Amino acid sequence: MSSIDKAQDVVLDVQRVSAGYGGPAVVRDVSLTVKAGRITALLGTNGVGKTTLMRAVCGMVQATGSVTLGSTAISGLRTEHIARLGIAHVPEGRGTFIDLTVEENLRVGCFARRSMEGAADTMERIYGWLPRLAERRDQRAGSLSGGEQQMLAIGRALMADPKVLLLDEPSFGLAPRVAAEVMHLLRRLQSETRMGILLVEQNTEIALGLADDAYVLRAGAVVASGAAAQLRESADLQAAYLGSH
Amino acid sequence: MNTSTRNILVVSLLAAALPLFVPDFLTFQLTQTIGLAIALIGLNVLTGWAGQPSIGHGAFFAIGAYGTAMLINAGLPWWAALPLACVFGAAIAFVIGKPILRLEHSYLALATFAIALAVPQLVRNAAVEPWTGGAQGLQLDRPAPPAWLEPWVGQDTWMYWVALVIAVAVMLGVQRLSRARLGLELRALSDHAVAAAGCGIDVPRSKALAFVISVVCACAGGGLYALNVQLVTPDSFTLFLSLTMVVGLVVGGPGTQLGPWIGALFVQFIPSYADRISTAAPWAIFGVAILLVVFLQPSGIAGLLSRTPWPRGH
Amino acid sequence: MEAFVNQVVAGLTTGCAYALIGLALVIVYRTTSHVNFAQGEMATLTTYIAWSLLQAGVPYWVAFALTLVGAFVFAAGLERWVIGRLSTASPLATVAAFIGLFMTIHSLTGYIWGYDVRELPSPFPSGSLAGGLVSWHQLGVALVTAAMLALLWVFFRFTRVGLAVRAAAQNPASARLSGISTQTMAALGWGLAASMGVVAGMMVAPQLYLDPHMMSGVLIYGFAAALMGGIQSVPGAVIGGLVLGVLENLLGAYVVGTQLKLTVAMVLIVGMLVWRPQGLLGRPSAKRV
Repeated sequence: MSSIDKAQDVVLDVQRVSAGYGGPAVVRDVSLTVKAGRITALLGTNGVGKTTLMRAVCGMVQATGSVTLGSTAISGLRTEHIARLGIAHVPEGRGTFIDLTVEENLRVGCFARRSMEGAADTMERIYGWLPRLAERRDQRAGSLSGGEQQMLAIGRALMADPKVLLLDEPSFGLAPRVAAEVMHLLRRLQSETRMGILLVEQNTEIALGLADDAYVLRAGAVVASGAAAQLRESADLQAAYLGSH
Repeated sequence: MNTSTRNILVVSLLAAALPLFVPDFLTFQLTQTIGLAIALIGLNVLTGWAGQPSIGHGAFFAIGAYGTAMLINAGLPWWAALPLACVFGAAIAFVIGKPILRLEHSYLALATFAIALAVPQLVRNAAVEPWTGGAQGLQLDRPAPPAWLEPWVGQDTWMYWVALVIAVAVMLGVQRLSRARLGLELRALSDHAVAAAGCGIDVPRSKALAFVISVVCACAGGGLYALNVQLVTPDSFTLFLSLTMVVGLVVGGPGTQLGPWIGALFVQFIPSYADRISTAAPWAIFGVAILLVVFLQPSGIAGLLSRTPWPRGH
Repeated sequence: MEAFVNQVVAGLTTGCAYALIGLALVIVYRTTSHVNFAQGEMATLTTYIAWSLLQAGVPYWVAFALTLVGAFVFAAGLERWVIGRLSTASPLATVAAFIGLFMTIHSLTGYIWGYDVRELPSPFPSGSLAGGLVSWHQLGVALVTAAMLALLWVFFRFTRVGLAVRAAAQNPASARLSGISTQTMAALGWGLAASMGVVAGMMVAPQLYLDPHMMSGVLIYGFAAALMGGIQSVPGAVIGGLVLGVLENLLGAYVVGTQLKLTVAMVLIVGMLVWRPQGLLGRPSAKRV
């Protein structure tokens, strides 16, 4: 099923957001949209503000500008409230609860659900996508490998049945084969759900291979955007803005 | 001589004239205030500048008081006993300082809290009773004014002047420190210890030095207290004293020059009025005062005053 | 030999109070990263309230339950509207605030009930069993403490809210991203801690006698117990409390005499903080400069 068949509703609308940690702005006047059923990549080298932007969307850093989820304005709301409205953020480093079991990690994800109805079904679905997690459901999460923890973190995010999924460098620190598994999972999510996915990745090859749309960030501002396929073709664009990859 | 030093000396001279105008019991209380202020000046170096919270300095106040009393009872004149007690305190501070100060703020507060609770029990203990006088404590004699002054100058006044001279010496010493390298180092590490270490500041050493200075001041204050009251008992140095010192510092204004003095006055005089309401009142007033300061005016009363146009000298 | 066993049993009984207070401190620390210096004073205050209820003729276990609930609500409110606002304050300001809380609560207790020693009755029958080795009161304290700990365990392991508290304690940022309000968890933590303080106070008051200073010794031993597990460990605090209770009694009876209780606590606390801050059970963490 190709993504062209899906309606192009905007699920996340970021308008002119600037954000920082108290000093000069790290993210400057950034606007982007994430559409339902599509994967949007956020690219750029280290330190350009990709993580800060994600944090700003989730209310974790001071920010100006407006962020809208569907038809609800979420700028200025508390992080946990934003999570409950339907944004699931898998942070850099995964944020796994290492002393809880795999299943408990997933259950924690339920707190962001609108209602507990269907939670059991969602969990079964996630175990279906990630059979290795099912095998280890009573194991302490800290004993899982990096790749498995990444899957678990994504699973936890999915337990909330979110409208938007934010992923911050999911392939970081993973062997290429494992990273490919993660990307495969994202592709499945794209075809089997209507979530909008915003993917931050330093590895532009992987990102552009997977995404439908992309934005390129440099020094906190958007310098290029468009269909991922086009950006992938444009060698100049890549060389100029993304360095050697 | 710069403005600030001149300010200190001028104010001290004015203060020295006070006993001539006020009744003796008030002079006595002012001497108590000075002792406390000296201790708070030291606590300010550790907690106000270097940001290391200690809620156990009452214990060091006690060490200074008991040390002075014990040395006087052993035959030394007060002007040797007091400094020696301070040296003894400094030695203890040197030994326990470095390990304790590695602790993060809450843990450091906890460790000093434990010390504050334990010291009164220690000095009361039967094993050291021959030296500390157990529950009864020790008595000692004040410094007496020289014979030729006696017709004009009472005991309380002389004691007051002794305290004032020591206070001036401490203030000038700390002021020099504030401008010297150590002062800057302490403020830097209070802000961000890791960054300070990255700038080449020997954080453990600076903290330990601040601790020693604060303890020496606490001992000096305690010694003066002992000389003034002429009696030291375990009940004078309970946890309440340690907590009161923190109240004094925070309400007065941490990190400021005036703060310790305002704090000492607050802590010394409020209870005497509050006591009339009820026994519980001093605790309540201190508790509420410190909460008000923390939530509404973190820079303390000194911070409030510095917004008005006082002549500044720095 | 019998005297030795008596000392051990008595130690385990006071150890229950230390374990409960230690546990209260651990829970507050894990949900808020604060050390609550006023935990003992709060326990004393709530014990006095129970005393007043008993004086008014309320049956013991009803008074117990009422005080438990009341303390929970009061403490949760305190964290939510007062202490919780300190998150941006400097470390000195935080410590100062807790001192303020300590002094205010202490003076409130002294003002309302005065400084005379009161008697809080034990709900357990007098007399002993096993040939004088264990009194009914001691057994009762042990059972109540065990019941409290069991309830807590069930709460944390099997309820949704309990899971939320554990998650928030382990990783506040991730918990918030999963929709958990860390503010609410902090208030819950304070509520639970205060409840444990009630149990500790009511169980220990028949022995220690009720006066405004009752809990300061218990508090300091509670701290030592919490530290033995590294201030993050729940089982560590419980085991630590029991061990310390027994140690305190044995040292008091056979080594240093009963007058040096607080000194022993000080040495333990300072020693542990300096040489093994992760406690006897915990894992080292990079928290020092």
